[in-house]
Amino acid sequence: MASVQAVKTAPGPPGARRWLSGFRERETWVAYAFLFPWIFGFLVLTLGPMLFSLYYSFTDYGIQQIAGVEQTHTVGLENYRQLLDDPKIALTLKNTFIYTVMMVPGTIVVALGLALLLKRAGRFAGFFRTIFYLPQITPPVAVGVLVLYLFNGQIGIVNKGLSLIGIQGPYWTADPSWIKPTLAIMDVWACGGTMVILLAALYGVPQHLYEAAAMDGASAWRRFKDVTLPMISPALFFCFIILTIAALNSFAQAYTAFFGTGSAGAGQGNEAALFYAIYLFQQAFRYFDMGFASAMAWLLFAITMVVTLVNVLVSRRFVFYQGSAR
Amino acid sequence: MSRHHKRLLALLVLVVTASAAVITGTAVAHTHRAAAGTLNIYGFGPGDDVQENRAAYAASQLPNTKVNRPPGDFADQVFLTRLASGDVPDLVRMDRPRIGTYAAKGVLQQMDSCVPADVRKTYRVGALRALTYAGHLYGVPEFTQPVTLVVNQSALRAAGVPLTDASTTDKAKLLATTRKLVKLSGGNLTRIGFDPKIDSFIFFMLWVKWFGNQYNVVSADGLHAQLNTPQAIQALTYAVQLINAQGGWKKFLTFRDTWDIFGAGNPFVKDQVGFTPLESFFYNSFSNNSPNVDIVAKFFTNRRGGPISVFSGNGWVVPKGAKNVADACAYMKAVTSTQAWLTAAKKRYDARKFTGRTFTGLYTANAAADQKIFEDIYQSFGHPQFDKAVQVAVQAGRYGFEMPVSPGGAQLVDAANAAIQRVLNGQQTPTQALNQAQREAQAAIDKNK
Repeated sequence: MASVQAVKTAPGPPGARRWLSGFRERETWVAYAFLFPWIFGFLVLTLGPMLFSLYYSFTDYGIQQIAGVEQTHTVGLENYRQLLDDPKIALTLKNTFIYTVMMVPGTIVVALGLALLLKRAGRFAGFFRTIFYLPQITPPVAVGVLVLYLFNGQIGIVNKGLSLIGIQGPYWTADPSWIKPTLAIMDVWACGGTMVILLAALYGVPQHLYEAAAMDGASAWRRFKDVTLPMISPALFFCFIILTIAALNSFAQAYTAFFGTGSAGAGQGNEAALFYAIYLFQQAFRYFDMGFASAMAWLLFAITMVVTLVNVLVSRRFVFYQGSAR
Repeated sequence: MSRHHKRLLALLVLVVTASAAVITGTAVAHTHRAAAGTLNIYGFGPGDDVQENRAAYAASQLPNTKVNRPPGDFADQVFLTRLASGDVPDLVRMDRPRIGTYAAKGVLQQMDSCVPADVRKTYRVGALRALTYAGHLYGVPEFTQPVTLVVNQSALRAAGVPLTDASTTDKAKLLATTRKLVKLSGGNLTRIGFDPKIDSFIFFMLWVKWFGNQYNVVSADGLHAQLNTPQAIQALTYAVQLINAQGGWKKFLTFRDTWDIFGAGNPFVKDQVGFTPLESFFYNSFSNNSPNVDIVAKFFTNRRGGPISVFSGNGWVVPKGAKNVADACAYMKAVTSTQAWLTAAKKRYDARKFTGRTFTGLYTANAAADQKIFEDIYQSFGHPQFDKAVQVAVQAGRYGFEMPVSPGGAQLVDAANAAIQRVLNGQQTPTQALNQAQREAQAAIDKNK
């Protein structure tokens, strides 16, 4: 009877020493040389400002301090306490969450639908892929202006189209209850980036799985539900996380359409479009309360982290990674 | 470590050092750019002919000074960045409503000694007040754009409304005239009878003034918000009544958003509005795009029939930390002087005449300049509606007012705008909305003063 003997390997050097020993290799240096621009950018342009903003969130930092006419004073948790006292914080968070709940699933569903169609489009796939991707590269400010034209309740193309099928469209940009759906629809329109990711994931699903399912008599819906969705679930999860973060930080379109000076002016200052990021911007660059704005930024960061972590935890039940132990 | 590795390490260190040196060097160069004999201006980049001719005149008054005018208009973010980096401009042009916040925060220099009493007399009192905080003057005003009523005569004739009825004097009559002028087709508006423009802050101020002559939305010292006064509540209530008489806010706004206000197909040409208050720069736009448009200009009148108007415009200020205050002071006075305006107006008139286009005057914070431009330079181009418009706009400047400088000015404007939106959308009554706005605005003033 053959016995199985565990082969004990010699313990490797401790982490730090192993990391340092890597610098004996030329490849390590080359790798770091390539990484250097990103590391430099991250430290100077991202991490540095983040740490400064964390500090400022505990101070009265504002324009007086920027101009050097007053010293910066620490105010403890005052700015964070103000987050609880300011009713606009709750209002803007509510607006942002409602918009996120509409925009994220909407974008994923439409992008997945388009990706499924494109996969079947044959030789015209490239053409349609370009067409569907175009809105993605339209500047958000232009989209913000476009919203007001496309969704105008009287002459907008959306209501004109609806009237052809006998539907009286709402006053999209003038009615507070339709403003967030309007902005979400415009984001769904620009779902080209999500569509490309999902299309790539669809191409990665092994064909033999479909063939096996078909041989077992699985209907098209069952093949989609039990083969396609599990196999592209990592891509879906990635899109979900990225879109959620983008939605929580949504700014440009709503600001251009409803708050920017000189915009077409659909209800200037309409609070239905006051997203958290817009209010943060106003606090920082219109009211010059940088300390409070920094606290707002950190609250948003914390919310984004929590939402992402919850998503990651929940995803363990729904996301299938090929080759993973689960 | 091998020699090759050492070389690579040295290269990496060199790149980091060089990057740091370039960044530091650039910052230092910016910080020390303002030398004596150089005037760094911000917010007054290359612009139209009037701007350039005034800039040329002002520069000619400072022959030994090099004037830098980087492109772009004023933006708070850019200004803050320049202050933070030590690249403080010597002279800044910004919207007057912003100046209060900057002044209250101590970022601007007082200009009392730069602008003595005899020079102050040149400027319109209302505009100067918008640059005065806690008894000190912080700069000089540039443009003012007085508001007047613009009446679509064709619409009045079609509706059988006499021109005298296109007036804001009588509350009940204005409502009745509005109802006569409004036009609907298939449930949609095709003509707004009268647009009170209540959703725009300066017009809200005008309506508050209209309801009670001595009232403004903030006290004269800028420290007490007055957004929920009976006059303000009545003004908003009445304006909403005017809009509801024309189908309600959603329909009204949706239709108004379709207007091409600056184009050849403006709402007066396309018969989309009966009459409305507008800033004076619209006459210039209309005269160029639609010189035959059938309009007539009238004063916006208070309830006693007297003319009232409201201003908007820019101001020139000097931030603390500016290195060339003497030249900044001289330049701001030169660029807003009567001679600068006259030079620019004459050149514009000549250029417009040469190209067969029109000239409808300039509306400035310099009352003497406006009068001289109208008397000495303006000439009719055969369109009496614009001759009358220029005459009314020049006179309206005498009756103009602005929001006093307030340390919470920006928050006050935003709180009022949001309140007006809530009322127009039916989410709150005028009293509820303006009470909330009052609380928000006063809290901001208290925090910033």
